[in-house]
Amino acid sequence: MAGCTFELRGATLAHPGVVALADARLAIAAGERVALVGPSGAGKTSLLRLLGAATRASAGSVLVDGRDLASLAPDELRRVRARLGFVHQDHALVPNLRAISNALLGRVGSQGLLASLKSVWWPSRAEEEAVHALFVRVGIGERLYHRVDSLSGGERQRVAIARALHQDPGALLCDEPVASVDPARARDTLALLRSLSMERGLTLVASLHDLALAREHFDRLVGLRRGRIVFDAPVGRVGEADLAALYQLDADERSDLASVGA
Amino acid sequence: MPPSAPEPRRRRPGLRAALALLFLVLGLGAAVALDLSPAGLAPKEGGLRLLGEFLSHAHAPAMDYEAPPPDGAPPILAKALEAARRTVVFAAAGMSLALAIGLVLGYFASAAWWSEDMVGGRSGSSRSLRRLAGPALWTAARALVVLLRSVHELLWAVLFLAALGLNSATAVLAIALPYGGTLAKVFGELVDEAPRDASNALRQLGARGAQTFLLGLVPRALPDMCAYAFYRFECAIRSSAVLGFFGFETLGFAIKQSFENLHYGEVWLYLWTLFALVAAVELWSSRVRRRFVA
Repeated sequence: MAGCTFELRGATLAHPGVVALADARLAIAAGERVALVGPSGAGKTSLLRLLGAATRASAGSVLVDGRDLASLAPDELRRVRARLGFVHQDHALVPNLRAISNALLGRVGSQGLLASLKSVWWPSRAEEEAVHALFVRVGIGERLYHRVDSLSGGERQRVAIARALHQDPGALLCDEPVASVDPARARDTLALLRSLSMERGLTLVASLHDLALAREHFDRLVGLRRGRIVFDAPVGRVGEADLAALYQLDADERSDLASVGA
Repeated sequence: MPPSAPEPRRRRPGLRAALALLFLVLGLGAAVALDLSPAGLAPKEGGLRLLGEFLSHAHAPAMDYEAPPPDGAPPILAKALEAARRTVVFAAAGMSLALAIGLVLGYFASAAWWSEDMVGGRSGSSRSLRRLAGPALWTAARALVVLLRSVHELLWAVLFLAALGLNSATAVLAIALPYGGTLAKVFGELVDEAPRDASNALRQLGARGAQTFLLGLVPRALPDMCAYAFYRFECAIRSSAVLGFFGFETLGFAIKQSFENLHYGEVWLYLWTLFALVAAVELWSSRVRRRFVA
């Protein structure tokens, strides 16, 4: 199946008292690999949540595969979500279930209630083999029957990726996939995501802090700051000045820090 | 100008003292209302002697009947074991029914099940039906839980003895109803307090409401639910023994008979059997619980 396309048309996400993302305009083609970069609180996660149909835009519209999410009936919205593999920062697994059961949960969006209960508690041989192949692909083949709470943080992330892949998705949306791992592992994880995207034609969108890693593994960078997109360009065309501006402290932020130091 | 430090939160040392004083006053008030006096603690005529005689048998439980038993009576050890077995059987039967009640009612009594997150029906009309019927069903389930719980198992036993007479169903229902109510309350709360991260993730990948609830939320609460169910099984054993005082042939029945005949050695045999039984269940359940909760 082809990768998903995304489009934000003036999308805004506002919570009471805070505008997390303002008037975002962005189009992502099938199979593109896009890194969202910017300081904490810039709106990266909000943008990912809008793309993942996890939340409704307060204004403007979000299109996935050309369909405006606001116009979809609940059941159609579920089907859109089932095509989007979301890898959460905290992995969001069920810790007291086995790794294989967690990965099998990836398919509940396209199963009925009874079928999903059966495949989690009594998976068929074919399902076990399918998940095992995914686990081998993401590098944790021997962890199939381990309980998730006995796995390391890195292994849990692989289970979360396997769950997203078992969805048979058109896109992988990853929220801070390397926020809490050491640099060597971060490189491994991003290389894995990149190669998965290439071999399966998946659109890949990930939020990152680390600019060097973003340039190394992605084709396009979208810089966010204070809820606004400040640049959007292929990696080669993003200059040092853009990046400096992204992380530069504002005058009032500086004065806050100065008063802390005083 | 540097901003001033935030005001420290004020402690109120007077509050705890006032609460302690309140409980003291309530306690004294209750004592006055009940006409309690230290004289009530003095043993009645011959009471101390009776107590001493009873306790003196503790180290030497009877190994045979203290009076000639009716013809065909089994050896007393066999009788004690049979009473213990019946105690467990009543407890297990009551507990199984209580689990069924607790799981169904707990599901309806959990706020999470009715929350907006889980309302994900196939169509707009089924969703709005859930939204309308939800609060009514939730309130009804809560009311039923309170009703079942607020009546003690001994009172249920009295009610069912009047309605059904002295049969096994009476004892099983007397345990199952209040225990079912308690399990429903605790199961509902455990599900409500379970972390929502996994259920949110399932919703995010397109799961329906029931799938989100059963596969994302319930599994996170399941270890605690199992641990609590085992703890209640221990309680059910004690309740089952006590129901013997109504005439059900559990350990309580044997204890009551022997006590009324002043056969204290026999009483101690049955008491030790009950201690051993409760200790064994406790040991077993704490092992199982460790496995679930670890």
